Amino acid sequence: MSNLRSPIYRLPAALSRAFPRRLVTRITLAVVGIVVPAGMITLVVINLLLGHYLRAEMAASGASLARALGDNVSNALVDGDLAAIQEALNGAVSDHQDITYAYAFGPDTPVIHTFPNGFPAALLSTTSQAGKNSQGLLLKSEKGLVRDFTYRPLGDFPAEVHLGISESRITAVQNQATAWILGLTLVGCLLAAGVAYALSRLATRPLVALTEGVQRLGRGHFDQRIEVPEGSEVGDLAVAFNQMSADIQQAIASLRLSEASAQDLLTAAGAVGEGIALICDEGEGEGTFLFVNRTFAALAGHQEANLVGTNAASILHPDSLEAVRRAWQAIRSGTSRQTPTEIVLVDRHGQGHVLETAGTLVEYQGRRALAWFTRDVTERKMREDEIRRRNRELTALYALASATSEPLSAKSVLKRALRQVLKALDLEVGWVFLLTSDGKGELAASYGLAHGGGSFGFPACECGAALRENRPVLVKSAGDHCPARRALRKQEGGPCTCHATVPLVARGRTLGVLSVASADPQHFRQAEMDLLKSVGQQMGVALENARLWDELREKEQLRGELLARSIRAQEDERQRIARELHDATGQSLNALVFGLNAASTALGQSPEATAPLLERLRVSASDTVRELQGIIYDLRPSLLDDLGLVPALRWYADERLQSRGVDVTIEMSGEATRLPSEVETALFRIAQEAVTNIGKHADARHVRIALQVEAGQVVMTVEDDGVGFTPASVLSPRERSAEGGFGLLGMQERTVLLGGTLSVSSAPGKGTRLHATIPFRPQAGDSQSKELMPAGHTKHEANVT
Amino acid sequence: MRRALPSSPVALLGVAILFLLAGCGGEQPVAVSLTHNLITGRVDAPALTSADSLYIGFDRRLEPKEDVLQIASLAAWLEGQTGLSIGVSVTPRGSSVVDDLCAGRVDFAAVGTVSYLQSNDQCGARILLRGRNAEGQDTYKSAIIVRAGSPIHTVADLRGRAFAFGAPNSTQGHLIPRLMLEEAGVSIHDLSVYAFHDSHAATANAVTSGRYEAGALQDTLARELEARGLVRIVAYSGPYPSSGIVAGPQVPSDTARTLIDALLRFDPLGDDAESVHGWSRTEMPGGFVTARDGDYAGLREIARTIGLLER
Repeated sequence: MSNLRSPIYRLPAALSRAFPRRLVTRITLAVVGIVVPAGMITLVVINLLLGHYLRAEMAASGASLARALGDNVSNALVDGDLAAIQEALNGAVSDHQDITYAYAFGPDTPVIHTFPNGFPAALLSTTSQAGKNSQGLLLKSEKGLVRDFTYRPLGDFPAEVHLGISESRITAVQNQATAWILGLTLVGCLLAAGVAYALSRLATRPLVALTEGVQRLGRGHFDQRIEVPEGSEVGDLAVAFNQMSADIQQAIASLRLSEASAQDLLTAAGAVGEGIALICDEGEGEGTFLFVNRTFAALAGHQEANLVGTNAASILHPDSLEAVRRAWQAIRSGTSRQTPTEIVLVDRHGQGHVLETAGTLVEYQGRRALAWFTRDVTERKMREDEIRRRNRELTALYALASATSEPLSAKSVLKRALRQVLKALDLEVGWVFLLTSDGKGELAASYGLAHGGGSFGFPACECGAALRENRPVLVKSAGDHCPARRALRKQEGGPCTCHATVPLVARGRTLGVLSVASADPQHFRQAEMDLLKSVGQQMGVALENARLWDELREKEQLRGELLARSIRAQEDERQRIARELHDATGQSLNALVFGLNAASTALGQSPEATAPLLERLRVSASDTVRELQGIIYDLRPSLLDDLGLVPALRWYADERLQSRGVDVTIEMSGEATRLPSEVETALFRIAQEAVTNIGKHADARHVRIALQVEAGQVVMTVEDDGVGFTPASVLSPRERSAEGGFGLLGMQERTVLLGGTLSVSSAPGKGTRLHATIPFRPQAGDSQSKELMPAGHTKHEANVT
Repeated sequence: MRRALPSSPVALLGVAILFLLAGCGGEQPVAVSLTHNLITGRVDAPALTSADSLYIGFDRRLEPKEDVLQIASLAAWLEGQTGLSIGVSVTPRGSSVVDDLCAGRVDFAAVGTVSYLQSNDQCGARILLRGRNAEGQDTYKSAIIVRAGSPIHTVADLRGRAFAFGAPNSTQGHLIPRLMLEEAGVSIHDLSVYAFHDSHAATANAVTSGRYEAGALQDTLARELEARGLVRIVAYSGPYPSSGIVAGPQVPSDTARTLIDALLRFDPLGDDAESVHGWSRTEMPGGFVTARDGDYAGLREIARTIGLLER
């Protein structure tokens, strides 16, 4: 690449700039530029060649002359005939005008010469050099260049003849040749320049015609044609020019047709309702309307003439300016994908129109313009917005339904539901208040609030009307008394005090309110309020469901705990039975075994001691049997199966409370019939647990157990006058201890399993009253044989002291 | 990637110009003044020969240039063989190399028999070597020639004829022919006219031009002229010791020995043919053999007889 910057490659461009532009002048100068150097080269070459050959000829002739002269004077040199030598030398000089001097000498002969005024001493020093060159020795003297030729006519005999031949004739010939060549060059130069000028004029005449044709073509004469004979380069150029003119003429015609078609197209587009505007895309008028059709002008609420010349931005909604700018830039850069751009045009009355626009760049009146095609899609847009809103609501309701259908906690449901509502309404701030048992509001869920807690004074605030009156409320501007105002302002950074509130209703009961906030009161139209109302109902149901889910979950948890406790109690019971069998019954039986062994021994050794020993063994065996019966009764009193519920309760109460000095009263009323086995078992176990608890915790003096059999249900009441307790502390899962509470829960569970109810009322120091109601279906045929107690024992009181 | 610069005729022309400029720009002229520092009197020639050189002289046989070229080339060859500095001494016209030898101006000389006999007679110069002809013989002959259509067929027919001799000191041109004439009974006075010429060429020219009816010259040149139909050989002489190399009396024996050893290796017909100039035209074209003074006894006598040894 560096070679291209070298001067030799920049030379053509520099010459082109330095030379005149006219072709004729250039050709003439070029010819002169060729002739002059050629003449100079010829001059130099001729001079060199002439000099070379003349000097060669002079060398040859000089050598010949010297040889001839030497031969002529050789004998004279041998004989010392000085006169003959002088004569010969003089003759040579006189015969040849180029010979400047001649001299000769021999070993015994002085130098004989032709110098009239004396022999130049300088020549003596050249004698040793002169004979070495057959071309002669070139001397530079006052008479010009002289070539000294030396000849030894006697061979090795030391005699020499010298001839000095001037080169002035050669110089004269060269000068003459130079003058001739210069003259010829000058003549040739003038002749060549003239011929070149004439020929170039002749040659460029078609070019001139071509140029004039191009100029006429440039002035719009598209029918311009040039007549130049074909076959030459210019002729080919003329043919190409004519072809180009024809093409341009055809293209212009097509363009005019296209313009007419475009105008028709604009008219036709306007006729079918397309708004068209041409906006200037260059120069000072950039952005101004160059043309608008009637439809476009009608959209803007103006006459066409009023819009032309105004800036397009003046009728655009400010929010649309950026979109228009981007679309225009894309069209300019050629990256537009011709997808319509939606903008908002504001007409003269301030009414906005949604326009669907597309554009392209065109030439209009010699200026580049943006052809802007518009269509009013305001109504379609409204319909689309309505559909979109409907879809959004449906989506929100669906999402809400999905959220509420999941087994979530009430707060999780409210949180998710609130998020879906805000998303559906395109809002960011909302909250849910739930009514507490004391009638106050509790913030159950929120989004976008400055702080996440507090009651905002609800429901005393303005939106509390939704709760009080069970209707949607729209608070357009919360007053200063509204505690929500501060939180909302902090969140939105502005007067976001408008909020809509709807009640959360489930099963006819208002559980709380849902509020959503917006800076724009217009946001909450009837459709939004209806949606909020539906959502409120949905959320109420969801809240109720969530509560039910909570209860169910709590029950499930309780059931699991009971099951675990039952298993653990079963294991404890097994351990107790095993321990009693081992510690009591087992020891007793071992003692019996040892006693029998002793009796057997005594029978053989001391029969008299056998009888007392056997008596002790009998007593021990009887005790053992009682122990076993106690164990068996602890497991399940056979009295329950054999005699019924009342005897079993009596027996158990006596067993557990009598030793503690508790007075037990058992009452029976209603029909005396045997209850179903599972009912009896449940009532016995409930009473068993109650008696156990009384024995352990109540420190009671009196206990009353009452059974009342009614139509289809049996009611058992166990009450004492013990220390009492707080039921909530025992029944609450959170406050339920590891041991305490599970007895009551087990009783409750047994009751519920049989479709009954169990209630416990107690208070510290006020004793405890347990009331269990269990429905049953009377069993046919069992009424006589399975009574609660033996006939006549409808009431039994057991006073245990 | 670097773009290759386009090759075009202009670029090639530019490259060619650069080459031409590079080729023409290499010679730097020596600055001299032709108008200042002028020597108006005698200008001595630059010394091109060492001052302590041995000098070799020669008998003029051909034109001066040829003689100098031959001897100078031999001197150069000897310098290469012996390491000695040897210069050529040209005896001025009208003077004799014998005088130079005896005067010590010349240390060695390539001379004919007469010059040896004279120098030996005058100052005791020593004959070192004598030449061999192209056939390898160490003797040479003289020939008496006439024009091709001459009626002269024997030496005796020369009586009363015009006769051309070579130089008076020439062995083949004067000494041996005098002996031949004497042996044929023809005295110099029997001739109608006679004249001496500087060289064998001049003698041949005198005969072929018709100025003289007969002439005497070296046998080799005579056979050459006869072969070309210019002359006809009437008689050959007997073989006599050819020209040789003599040393002046001042030359030390070891220097002479060095020279003898070198010249005995001289092979002008073989390896040294290119080293010497026109050696085939000398009287020793086949090289040299050792010479003894006794070989010249006969010629010394005739020379003395005809007065060539007179001072």
